Formats: sequence, structure tokens, C-alpha cells
Amino acid sequence: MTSTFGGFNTAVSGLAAQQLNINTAGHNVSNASTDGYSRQRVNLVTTIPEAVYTASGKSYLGTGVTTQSISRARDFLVDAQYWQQNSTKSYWQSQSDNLGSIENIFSDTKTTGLQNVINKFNTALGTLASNPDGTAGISARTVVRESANALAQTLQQDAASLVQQANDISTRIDAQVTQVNNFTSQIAALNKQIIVQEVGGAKANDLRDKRDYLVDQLSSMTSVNVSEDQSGAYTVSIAGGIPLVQGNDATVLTVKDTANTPPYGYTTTSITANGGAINVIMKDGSIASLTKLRDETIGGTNGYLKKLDDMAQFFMQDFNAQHKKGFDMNGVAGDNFFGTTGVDYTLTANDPTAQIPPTSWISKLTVNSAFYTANGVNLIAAQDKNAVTGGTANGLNATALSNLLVKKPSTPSAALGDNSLSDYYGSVISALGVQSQQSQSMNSNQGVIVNATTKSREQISGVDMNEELANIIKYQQAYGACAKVMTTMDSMLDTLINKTSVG
Amino acid sequence: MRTTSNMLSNQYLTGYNQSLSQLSDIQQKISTSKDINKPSDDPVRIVRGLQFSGAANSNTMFSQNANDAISWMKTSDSNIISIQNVLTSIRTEVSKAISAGPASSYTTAAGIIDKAIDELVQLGNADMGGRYIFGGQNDTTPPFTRNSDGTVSYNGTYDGQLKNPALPFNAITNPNVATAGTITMTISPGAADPLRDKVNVDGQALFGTIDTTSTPPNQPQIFKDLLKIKQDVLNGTTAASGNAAVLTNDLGTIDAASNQVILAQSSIGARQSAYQTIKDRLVDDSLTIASDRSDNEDLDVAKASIDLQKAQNVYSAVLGVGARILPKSLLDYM
Repeated sequence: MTSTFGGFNTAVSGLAAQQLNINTAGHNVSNASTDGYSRQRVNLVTTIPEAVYTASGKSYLGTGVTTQSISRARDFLVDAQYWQQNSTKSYWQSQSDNLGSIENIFSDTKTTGLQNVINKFNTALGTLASNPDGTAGISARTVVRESANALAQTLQQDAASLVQQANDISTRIDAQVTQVNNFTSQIAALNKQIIVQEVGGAKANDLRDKRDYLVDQLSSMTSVNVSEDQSGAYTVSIAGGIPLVQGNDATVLTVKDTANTPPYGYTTTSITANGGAINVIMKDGSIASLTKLRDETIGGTNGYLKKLDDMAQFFMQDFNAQHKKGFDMNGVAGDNFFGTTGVDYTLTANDPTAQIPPTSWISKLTVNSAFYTANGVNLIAAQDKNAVTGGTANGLNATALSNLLVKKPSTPSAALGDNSLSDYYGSVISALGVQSQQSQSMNSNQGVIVNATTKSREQISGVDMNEELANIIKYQQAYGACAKVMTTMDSMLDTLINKTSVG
Repeated sequence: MRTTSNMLSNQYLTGYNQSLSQLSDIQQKISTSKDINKPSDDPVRIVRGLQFSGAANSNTMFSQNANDAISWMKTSDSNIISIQNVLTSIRTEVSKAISAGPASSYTTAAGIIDKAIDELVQLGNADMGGRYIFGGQNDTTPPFTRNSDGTVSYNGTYDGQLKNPALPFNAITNPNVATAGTITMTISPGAADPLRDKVNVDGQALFGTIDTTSTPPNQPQIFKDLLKIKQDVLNGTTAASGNAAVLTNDLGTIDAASNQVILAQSSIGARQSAYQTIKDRLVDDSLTIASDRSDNEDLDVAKASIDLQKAQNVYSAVLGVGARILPKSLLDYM
């Protein structure tokens, strides 16, 4: 025989369970747009039944419902996949952003680029070749000097922009490492709280969401490996195996800045852990991408600086050598066109990259200051070696100088190899274009993959408003039904107690 | 598959971004009227563009040089015609002097010849934009001077001149320079070729061998001859008999001088026509380069306008979809 008021308890347990359901649905709806939130659901189970004796023997009467747990909808495997893909996506995004800004530095389509000043210098030399003396000669010589100056300044300007970009990259690496430290210390703190909350077997859903969201953000900066131990704590390590978070402890990364790194003089950074004891090399993610872009000698800021430096070296060595073969308006053998009079830039002793500390050719690239003295333009050696004393209308060396800019050299040069300056620059631009194009397509491909992964996460963890609202209606109905059971029982007892005529 | 409202808005945002960046892409193309704006748009076409811009630049430079050279040669040509006329008038005077006449007529003829020599010197000193066209590479000083004794000296340079005229010949330090009088204006790519690119006539080519040993030095042969002829004409007054033969002989000298001048003229004429041909070709080339360049990088405006229209349609569709679908939920019907 069951207890008279047993049914009340059953109905009450229903009311409580439905209320919990509605509360959880409310929590879901409230957090529908919270980053990193995964929807939660109440896992209800029936309570232990009560044995009743029926005609056919023992039967079990249900006694209501109770809450087993509140769990979050989450798939660790999808998370791990997302973290991995997100790192790669972030790597390529950073590559394509930064290569895009290098493209902007070499802005040739807007007739402000290097090709344009090379063309102008070439025209100036061509005009000088036809008008080496007289009034026309003076203006042709001045134009040669000024267009050479414009060329040198454009090279320097481009180089300065690249150096600026490298410095920006270093600053951003600094900031991102600070972020990494911030994230890892928060993850470690959350590990601690989660262990405490989960000691009784429950799941600390909201804390786990927060922790996973931190890992999400961390994964955009570097590739991470995450494993969960039995107590529920995450061990987060970066590629190469250095653990950033282990239980309650987070490894603090430090950035060491080296200002004025030779030869181009920008700030480089290296990341270390354990107070400088371990060198940290990041893989994937934006930090690795930025580091690679800055330091890479083929492609990358350093690589493009090297290309510009090669061109500066060409002017200091090859162009000067040809200029020295000529004779100036006074019939004297030419000296350096770029750099300083009397210096032989083909000697190792005068090679800025061989100095200690090394500097760049670009830093030495100036039009010979002697050209700026009174009648200095007459020092431009437009004549060839066969010029006759007194004859100044010989522009053959100016033609040779102009050919050096646009024609493949007969003997390969140390700086540009088998290329004319124009061709060399063209090859730099095409390499940059291909590199940038590749990074863009990698970025968009990877974007598609990350989107797909985000979608599968969302399929599992996302909050759907309509679903929640439908559930709320369901829970509301159930709640009402439970209440109805109570009123029904109440009226049954009322009949029993008040309407039956006892006494 | 479970679909959530977040998925809808994420997907919407992705689509929105895509259509917006497409729109901005087309707008950039239209505003620059170029199909390619940065190397990554099309590395191959960008580099071709660089090459075209280099070629266009060289073409402009060569056209400029060709114009300079042609006007240089035209000026040379018209002056050579005048020189030719002066020589003809001298010839007339000499042939008149062959037949006997009063003493004063010889003096007058000699005077005319002397004036003609002055005129030749003046024509030889013709200049263009401050550059003397018959002075060889020394084109900033007047190439011919009439000395006080009536002789004419050449101050310019000439092909085959010693590298340093003041010093004796030395095969290494002071050789004869084959192209010493040559002025070149290149109109085709590559190293300047003094033979192909020569645009001038130097004093020696025009007025004959320069005598470095004469007093005063550097007298051109034709001027030396003309002075002798002038003297021969003057001599007619004192020794009329037998002079006719000398003067007849002088006519031959003048004819030889004329031939020399005609040779110079024809060489410059031939070169001028070569330059004219190349100049015409450069004009053709510049059109070709411009059209290649335009094919390579210019925007197909019609296509871009249609693309823009399409992108705008997509964009407004995206906005419309967003506005209609996203705000709806079960809540509206509860």
C-alpha cells in the first residue's frame, strides 16, 4: 500500500524538475550570444520506485523525477580540430595582411614606385647622352643628378617603410606574447577552480566554457596541444612540447628585444621561457607568422630589404664602375657617381655589410656630394674613354650607364647577377605578387575550413532561440500538468477528508 | 543537422563580408580604371606592366633623341646647301676671271671671293640651340675662325684626330681616335654605335683635311685652296698672261671642293632618312606599346559596370535577407 501523500511528492519533484529546466533554458537564452558559451541541458532521471503488491505480485510504482546532472553540449574532438585549424588560419591571415602592406610599399601601379624612378633616371641619362654639353647639357646633367637622387631616396624610403614594418611586427609580437601570458595564467586559474568545483563529480560547465574560450583565443596566436587530466585540468603545450599551462601553473614567456639588429637596424625579438633558460619557437598562429615574415631572408621583410640592398649595392659597385670608365666635362676620369669621391666600393674594406657591426648598402646610397658643388654637375662622366681633349659632345658613357639600368649586363654583377636593374626589380615584384597571392588563397581556404569547423561546433554547442522557446513551452506545460496533478490529488483528499461522513 | 540562430547570423556575416569585399574590389578597379592594382592581383601581368612602362619610357626617350637628331641633321643639310651655293658663286667669279678684263675686275672678284670665304666661315659656324653643328665633339665653341692673315682655322674635333692634339702620337696614351668628331644620338636600344648613330658632319668631313702643321695650324684644305684661288685671281691684274691656265686649274679645285661638300651632304641626308624611318617606327611602336599596356592592365569598363551592378544586387539581396529572416523567431508568434 502506498502512502497517502506519496503522490504529492511525485508532483513536487516534477514541479522542481520543470522549474530547473526552465531556469536552464533561461540561462541558455541569456547566453545565446556569449562568446564561447555552449548550451546546457538538464539530465533528468526517474527516482527510485516504490514496490507495490499487485494481483500478479510485486510491481514498482514511479515516485517522480530527479536531476542527475546539468551538462554542456560540447565535443572535445571538434574543439581540438578548431584549435588546430584556427592556428593555421591565423598564420595565413597574418601573412596575407603583412604581405599586403609590403605590396603597398612597392606601389608601382600608382606611378610612384621604384620602376617609375628607374625609368626617369634612364630617360635623364639618355637625354644626357644626346646633350652632354652646352646649355642643354647643364640642364640634362642637373636632371640626371636629381633623378638619381630621387631614385636613391625612393630606395631609402622603401627600405625605411620595410624597417618600420619590421619594428611594428616586433611590437605586435611583444603585445601578443603578453596576451599569451594573460591567457595562460587565466587558464591555470580556471584549472584550479574547476578542480575544486568538480571534486564531487559535477561538471563546472560555465568555467569550462570560459577556459575553452581562452584556448580558442590562444590558438589564434600559436598552435596548442590540449589534454585534460583526470581531475579536469587542462595541460596546454605549444608545438615543440613546452607546456604553457600545467594544472595550476602557467609558464610565463618573456620577450627579449634586440634593438637595431644589423644590418638594417630594426628591432628583433626572441621569446624565452623559464627566465630565459628555454628558447621558445612558435609554430602556426600569428606569432610564428609575424616572426617568420620579419626574419625570413627569402620573402619576408628581411628578404625584401635584402633585395633593395642588392639594388643599392648595384649602384655603389656596378654603376660606379661604369661611371669611372667615363670622363667628365673637364676631361678627367670620372669618380663615384654614388657615395663618396675616392672610395672603391668593390673592396671588402668599404663593403658596409662586411663592417662590424654590418650596415646596409642603402644607408650609404647618396648621390656624390661633389655633384652639388658649383659646376659639380660637370663631374658627371658622360664621355667615354675615346673623348678627345677639348671635345665634350661625347655622350657614349651616359648611354652605357643608361644601358646598365635596362639591359642585361654582359658580365654578371655581384649584386644583381645576370639581370639588369629593371629586370631584377621586376623579378622582386613578381615574387612578391606570387607570395602574397598564395598567402591570400591559403587564408581564404583556411577560412573555409575554420568556418566549417565553427559550424560543426555550433551544431553541437550553439544556442537556438526557437529550440529554447519550444522547450520552454514544453516545460511550462509539464509544470502546469504537475500542478494539475497536485490539485487533482488535493481534491481527492478533500473528498476523502471533508466529504465522507465520519462521526 | 542541428541549425541554430547563431549559425544563421554567422553565415549571414560571412556572406555579407564577401559581398562587401567584392563590391569594394570592383569599386577600386573602377576608381583607378585599372584591372590590376597590386602585385598579388596578377603577378605575371604586373611584371608585364612594369616591362611595358619601361618600354614606353625608352620609346619616348628614343623619339626625343630622334627628333633632336633629325632637326640637327636638317639644320646641317640646309647650311650645307648654302655652302654649296657659296662655292658655286666663287666658281662663277673664277670662271669670269679666266677671260681678260680690266685690272679692277680682278680686285673686285678677289674681294667677292674673300667675302665668300667669310660667308663660308659664318655658315660653318652655324649653331642649333647653342651647339655648333660642324664642330665635331667640340661643339660649344665656334669651330671656324678667320685669322688676321685671312687664313681659316678649325677649332673643332674630327674623326681620326689625336686624343690630345697638343701632344705627339703615341699608340697607347695618345692614339688617333677614329670617332673623335662623331656626335651620337642613340635611337635604338643597346650600346651607342658611333658609326650607326652619328648625326653630325665634322669640320674635316665638310671642308677637307685639317692641316695640323700649317701656320697658323689646323687649316682645312678647302679654305687653304680658296685662299690660293683668291690670290690667283688677284694675280690676274699683274700677270694676265698665263694666269688663265692657273685659274682653269683652280676651277677643278673648286669642283673637287664641291664634291667633298656634296659627299658630306649625301652622307647626312642618307642618315637623316634612316632616322626618319626609325622615328616613324618608334611612333608605331609607341602605339603598339600603349595598346599592349592597355590590354594588359586597363579595366574593361563595360564588364566592370556590369560586375558592379551584379555585386550591388548581391549586396542588397544580402541586406534584404538579413533584415527579413534574422529578426524572426518563435517569440514573434508566442
